[in-house]
Amino acid sequence: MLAAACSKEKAAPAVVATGRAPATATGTTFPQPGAGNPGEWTTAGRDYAGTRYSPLDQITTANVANLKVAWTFSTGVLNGHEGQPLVVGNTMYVTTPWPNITYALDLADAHAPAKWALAPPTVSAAKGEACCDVVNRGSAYGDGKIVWNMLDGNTIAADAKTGKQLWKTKLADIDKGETITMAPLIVKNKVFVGVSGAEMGVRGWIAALDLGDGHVVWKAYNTGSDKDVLIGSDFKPFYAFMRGTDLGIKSWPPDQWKIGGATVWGWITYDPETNLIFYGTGNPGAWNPDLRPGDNLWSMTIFARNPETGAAKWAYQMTPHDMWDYDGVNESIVADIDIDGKPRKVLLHAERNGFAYVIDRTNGQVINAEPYVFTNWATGIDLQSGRPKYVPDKMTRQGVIIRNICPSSTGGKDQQPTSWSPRTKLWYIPATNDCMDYEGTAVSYIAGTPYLGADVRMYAGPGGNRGELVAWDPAQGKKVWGVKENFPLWSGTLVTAGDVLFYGTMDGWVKAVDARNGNPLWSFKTGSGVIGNPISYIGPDGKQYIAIYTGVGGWMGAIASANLSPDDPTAALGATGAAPDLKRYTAPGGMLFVFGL
Amino acid sequence: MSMTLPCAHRTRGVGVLAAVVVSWSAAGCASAPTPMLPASQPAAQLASLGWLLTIVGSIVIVIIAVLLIIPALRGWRAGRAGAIPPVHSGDGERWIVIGGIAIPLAILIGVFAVTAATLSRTSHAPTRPRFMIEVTARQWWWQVRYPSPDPQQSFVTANEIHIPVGEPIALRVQSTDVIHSFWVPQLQGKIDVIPGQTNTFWLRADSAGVYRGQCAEYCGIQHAHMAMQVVAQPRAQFESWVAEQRRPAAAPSDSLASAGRVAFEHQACALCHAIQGTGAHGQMGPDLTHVASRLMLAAGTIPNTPGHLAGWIMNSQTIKPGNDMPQMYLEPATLHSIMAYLATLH
Amino acid sequence: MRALVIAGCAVALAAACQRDEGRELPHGMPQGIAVAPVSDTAGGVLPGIHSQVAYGALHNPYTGNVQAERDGRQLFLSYNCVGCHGGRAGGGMGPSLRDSAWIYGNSDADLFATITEGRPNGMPTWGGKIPEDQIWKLISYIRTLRTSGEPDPPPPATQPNR
Repeated sequence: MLAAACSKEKAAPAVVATGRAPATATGTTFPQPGAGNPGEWTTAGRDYAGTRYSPLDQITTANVANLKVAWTFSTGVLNGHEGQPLVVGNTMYVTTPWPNITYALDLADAHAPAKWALAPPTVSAAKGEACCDVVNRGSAYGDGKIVWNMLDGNTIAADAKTGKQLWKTKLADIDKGETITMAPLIVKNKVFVGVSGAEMGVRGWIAALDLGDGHVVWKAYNTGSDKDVLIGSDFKPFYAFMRGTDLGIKSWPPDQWKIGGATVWGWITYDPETNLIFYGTGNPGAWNPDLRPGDNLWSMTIFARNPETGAAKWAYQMTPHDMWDYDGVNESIVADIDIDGKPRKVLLHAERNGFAYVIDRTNGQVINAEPYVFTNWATGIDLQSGRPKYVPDKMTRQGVIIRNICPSSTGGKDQQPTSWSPRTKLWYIPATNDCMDYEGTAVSYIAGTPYLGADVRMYAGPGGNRGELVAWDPAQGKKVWGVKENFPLWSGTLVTAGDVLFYGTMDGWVKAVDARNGNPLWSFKTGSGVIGNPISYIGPDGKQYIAIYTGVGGWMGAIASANLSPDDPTAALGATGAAPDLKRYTAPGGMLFVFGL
Repeated sequence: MSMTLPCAHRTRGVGVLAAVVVSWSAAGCASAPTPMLPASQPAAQLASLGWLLTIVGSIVIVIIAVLLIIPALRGWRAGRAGAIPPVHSGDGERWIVIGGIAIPLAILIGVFAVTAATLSRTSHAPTRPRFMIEVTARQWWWQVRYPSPDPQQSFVTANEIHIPVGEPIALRVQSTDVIHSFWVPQLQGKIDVIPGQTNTFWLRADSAGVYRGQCAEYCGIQHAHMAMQVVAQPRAQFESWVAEQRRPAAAPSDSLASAGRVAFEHQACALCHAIQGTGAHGQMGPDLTHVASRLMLAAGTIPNTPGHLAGWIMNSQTIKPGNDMPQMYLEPATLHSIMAYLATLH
Repeated sequence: MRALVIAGCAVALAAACQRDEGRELPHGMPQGIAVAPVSDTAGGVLPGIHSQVAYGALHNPYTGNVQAERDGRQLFLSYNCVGCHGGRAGGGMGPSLRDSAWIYGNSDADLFATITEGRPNGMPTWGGKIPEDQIWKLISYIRTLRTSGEPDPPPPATQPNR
């Protein structure tokens, strides 16, 4: 099965085998990230659950006003800096946007020099296949290795101490429009990697590589036959509309699933208790919905898979037959919360479509889903059927301009990750408040070019503020407080045990607010827009630091990072219209900032 | 129905009438479609209406001609005799009121009523259509889609519509660029296809056969070459045609056709054309998945024969100048292999 | 009087036909393009990108042709140029074509070379895939950006939201 799946690719990965023994010695222990040393940050979301909650409490609401720049490091790249650095022991690992260089910075030295830097050879043509800036969302650490993805479709593993490249696996083919931007997740001896390119008509997949030598252990597509999607007898979707055979083919016109998108460019999380990895899939191929009548499974779907075999345990499609590009790739934070007096094992998923889903992670049932931004494409999510209650006036199609659809395609929240504090029991969502006009247009699939078919123009939503830092109570499904921002928020959040919440704004501010009530506590204006995710760590001096990238870009920041023309609001897939003034506030940059008391 | 006769000068009117009658008869004898040879009930109703208008119009013209000729002769004779008869004012008033206003009003109201009734009858199918076909008019061809509630069952073809004999089918017409008009004279009246608007219509053929249709609203340089075929078949044959159309293109067995398929996907063909089951997903030109099964090419411009097809591929601009298919610069061997492949696409 | 009307119709028809004259048919493949010398300066080299092929000789045959500009806009959509360069060529994955910054130059020959050959940062190679006639029409469209003759100009940037 795997050999057949692999042979379909134009360029097979470096080493492929079925049933091959793992290349890591048995008996190797794989410490859970986040569970051990609280001063480290060894995976993108700090822990398997993706909480982005730091147990460090030296920095508190009382003293954060004294935070100042401790040191900085210029990455040498001027494109959008999404993602976050890692801290393992006394080393900080920084992975840049294309050309995807990884630096290992020595924190023990006040100059923070690079212990090593690895710049694997790559091709600039890959830049032409990235829809939304040549970003990289971070690396992962496991078993003494640092692993990251290259835009050109390779996954690299280097020795964390020496920087020697240990293996390189080619997974994606840029000639087909495939690239890789996501941060891999390492669970025990496996590295999970997903592909980007739904805007290019790529058929989405997720693969598990062996951490020891990089060979592909399993690969699951997100469209196509049950065999390709690794749906078997274990698969038990909670809602009836996802039960059936080969729905990844049947819910599409013939052949359309082959260019059907459903990519995996977002965050992956893991629950050791249920032994499931969770990730979401992206939009279906072409933005023009008239080209693909049907539910278009398994786009816009949260999958729960067994990490050893990839077999799907359950799935939940949030936006069947998407008509607005509400990618489902956002992170699903694993949390145990009390709802109606009962402890529940849930996923917290703030979706592009504007709804904050609280989902039972054992079976995929939606517990509650309420809009966390102004939303008018649906009046709600029907908890019986699991389907949205669509508003007919906001359903887009070819040849007709549908106006004032909220949220816009960039969603209530895009890739910028949320965080969850077990202390405040609040879920912090860096949200965007904007709306759009959307018209489907005819489009041919031409491999290597965008497969879109939509004319989109975005603009500020009701109230005029384009961003808001929302503090959400997932148990009740309601907003507790919010901090309005002028620009859409495109950076992630970090919440600490000191009850401080950190985030950044697109015009370059790094901000700290009180995690309990949103009171502003501290801010610092950096040189370029902030679209990266803050982390916190303990330095060799025993002090707590906050680290974050600056460097505007990403989809929303394209106008500034790529110097686009503000007089065309439909440029950058419509995002230019949402932030036409951004160039006045920021220019491209690329720097790591570290703050301390 | 746009067959109003010119109500003009007497001699010109007679000449036109004669020409029209002659051309209708000639057209009926030729292979071109004519509304005067209806093959369905609505077309028959419209043809009757046409005959009614022709006859009424002819009678009116004859009467007017007589009324003009007689006084003109009288005046001519009187002029030759040297005496112009005096004009009695007031005498003609009765003629004007009765013959010039009352009678024409009655005739026109009657004709209008019959026309309105006919159009009303022809615009609604007598029984509920069993299925619906979507036709998108584009410069200068017709994209035809057979939708289905099951997305796997829908398919797309071009310029050729198949319908089961005797059953009404609904048509939904839309345009992506300019105003066109969908007209199959032997089956129905015209329905304008207007960008930004979806019009619904219906068709039924009472007997099996191939009926030619035409664009009936000037839509640009190749408006004259924007025809289509409506093929009415017995139900069983229609179902097998549908089943065949739903199938993706089979992989060819011989090496030349296989090379042709690869060439099709890698040359510019795939940028504009789609063949289901291959890597070609172009949407700008007609879907070619079953091109070999079609009767004609280029929207009814040329017959579907290898010679015509090759000529079309290499230089469609000489056949249909200004159309969106560019001149192709293929090596002879490449063309040969693509032709072999297209021939397998039944 | 009648003669005047007929004459007027004839003139109008002739004027209308002149629009269609713009749909010139391609004149066949160009003859082999000569290879350019590396440098004009004796004993030296030139900085920058100077194509080995003598694109410098090329000139857009559709300059000023309104029909070609509109055709070019349609081709800009058909070939997914909008996907990379933005709905009205304001940029996105690829650079904006509306501004005056041109990485590879904006003469007729430079634009022709860019579209025909592709460029290292991801511009695809369209030469050999689409006819030259269509490349010139695309260039005609690009020339209209930010002018009053731009077919399908951008919608206004913001809309007040209730």
